[in-house]
Amino acid sequence: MREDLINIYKDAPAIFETIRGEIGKVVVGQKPVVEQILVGLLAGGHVLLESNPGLGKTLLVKTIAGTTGLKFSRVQCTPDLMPADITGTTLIEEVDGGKAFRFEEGPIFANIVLADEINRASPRTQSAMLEAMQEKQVTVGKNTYRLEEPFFVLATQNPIEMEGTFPLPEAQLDRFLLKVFIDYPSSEEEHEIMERYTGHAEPRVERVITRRELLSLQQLTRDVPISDDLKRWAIKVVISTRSWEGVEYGASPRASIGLILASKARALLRGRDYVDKEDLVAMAHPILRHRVILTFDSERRGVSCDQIISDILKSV
Amino acid sequence: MEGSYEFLVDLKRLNLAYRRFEISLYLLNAALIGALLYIGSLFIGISAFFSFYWEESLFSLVPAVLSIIIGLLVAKLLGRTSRWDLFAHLDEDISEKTKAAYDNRDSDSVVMESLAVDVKRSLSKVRAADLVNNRRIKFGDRSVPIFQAKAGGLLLLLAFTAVYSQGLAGEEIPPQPFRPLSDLRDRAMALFEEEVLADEAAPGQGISGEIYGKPSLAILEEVNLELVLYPGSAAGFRARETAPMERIFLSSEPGEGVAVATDLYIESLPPQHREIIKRYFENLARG
Repeated sequence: MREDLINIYKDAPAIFETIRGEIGKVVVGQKPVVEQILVGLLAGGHVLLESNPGLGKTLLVKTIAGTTGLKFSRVQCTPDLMPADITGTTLIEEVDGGKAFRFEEGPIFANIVLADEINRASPRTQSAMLEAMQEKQVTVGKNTYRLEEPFFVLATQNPIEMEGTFPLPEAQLDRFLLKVFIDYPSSEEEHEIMERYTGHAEPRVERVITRRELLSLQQLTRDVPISDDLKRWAIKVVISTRSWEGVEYGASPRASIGLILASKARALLRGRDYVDKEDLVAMAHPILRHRVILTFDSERRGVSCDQIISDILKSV
Repeated sequence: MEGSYEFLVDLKRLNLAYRRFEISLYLLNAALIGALLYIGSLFIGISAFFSFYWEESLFSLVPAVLSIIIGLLVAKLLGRTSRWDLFAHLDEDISEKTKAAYDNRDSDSVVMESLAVDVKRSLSKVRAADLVNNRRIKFGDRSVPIFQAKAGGLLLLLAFTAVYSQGLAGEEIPPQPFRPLSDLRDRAMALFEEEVLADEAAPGQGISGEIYGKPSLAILEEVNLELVLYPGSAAGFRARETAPMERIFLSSEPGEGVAVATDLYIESLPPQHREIIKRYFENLARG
């Protein structure tokens, strides 16, 4: 087991480079976004992707799933989606002339789940999914079913077209390790996108990492050393969000855990065997932005969470 | 330092060097502060006072000993404000990983092993002198190691102290030390004496008590000597042959007063009475 870990640790930079290369075949640019999703994957946390329509959220998630040899499923969230449509349901079937109950697993029973436009699902369905995300298990009737590791949910939502949506409550947003914004591509990138997707052959990705390798990398992520000083600094940053001017509610201790884990994953991705302050600074925005609730006055003045997080990082 | 990683040996080596450097810096600071205090005591005459009155006893060393003790205490207080942190003096690129490795020295994982090897490689290149060089102060474009600057300052101060205290004992230097304090004391004494001496008539009345630093007249084997006693510093006295008595006082018939204002006499009077007495004798001389 240890030998395997040593070998995977040695191969890790090459594995990451290959994954990036494969994703790069399909997704043009968006390197920070790709890195943040890989951070989520390594840290074992879920990621909420937010962008305007047409920026390739779904394509990105499908591509990342395609590079792994993991079971992938997709749920297109709509207001009439029921919890059982996600978790699964118990069916009655005939067995040897008699009748028996059989649990039919829903799409949540996969390693990578894409919950597309999660804010269009009803609060009841959202709750069912988010409970599965947190507990990594599904309870149907009196039976509880464990979800297979790794379990990784990538949910997408767009900030416009709010009609007919059910914004995720703050408590449920907290279940996501990262909230990642996808920005518009640059003109060169857009030109490249046009070139790639207006021909006959659509780019395809190959599987370059196995489930076992991913689990080992997740274990290695948790082993990345971090100094006590940096841990204290991370806690200070999170605590500062609770008393910062213009903030109604600050981040929970889950944010501190997330910040450390995500920083460890970023260090590993960058081929570093320790966490540096730059990892914490880089991960602070995606970790904290959905956990900081602004006051009405801040929102009225157009202050954003990212601005407040930047101010906190400067002052701590 | 517990743990079994090899980098801990290098860290221990650097830590010892750093500790030695900090202790030397602390002693240097203490010596600098002590020297400054001692020079101050020389200026205001405390050292002279102690060495004059307790020339042969250990009390004469009190100013020097006190300067050293206060120097050690102040240096200790100053040292408290700066945190004892070896990691801060390592180069930026190895500081954080060394800190991470040290804080996780009890962890046994593949990543930690890799980090330990990496840190060991980095630390083995660090020399103790590099830690000292990282403590720099800036003077414009030039960087001067703080240690060298302080050591240089101390040498200058010690040289100055030696020259200055030598000067105090020299024959040609007038007895300035302790002057500010003795002037203050003169005034206080004069006020006190005005009240006490008015009521008491005793031998030695009018003597201010100030016998040091002012010329007196001594007769040794019929030779008139101008005698100056130096206050403190075991400076001793200056004696030189002076003019005959006639230079100071003129002879006169009994009952016939002839007043002559002499600098010697005027100088020996309390400062606040000099002008009055001088004017009195001038008027008397004019008749």
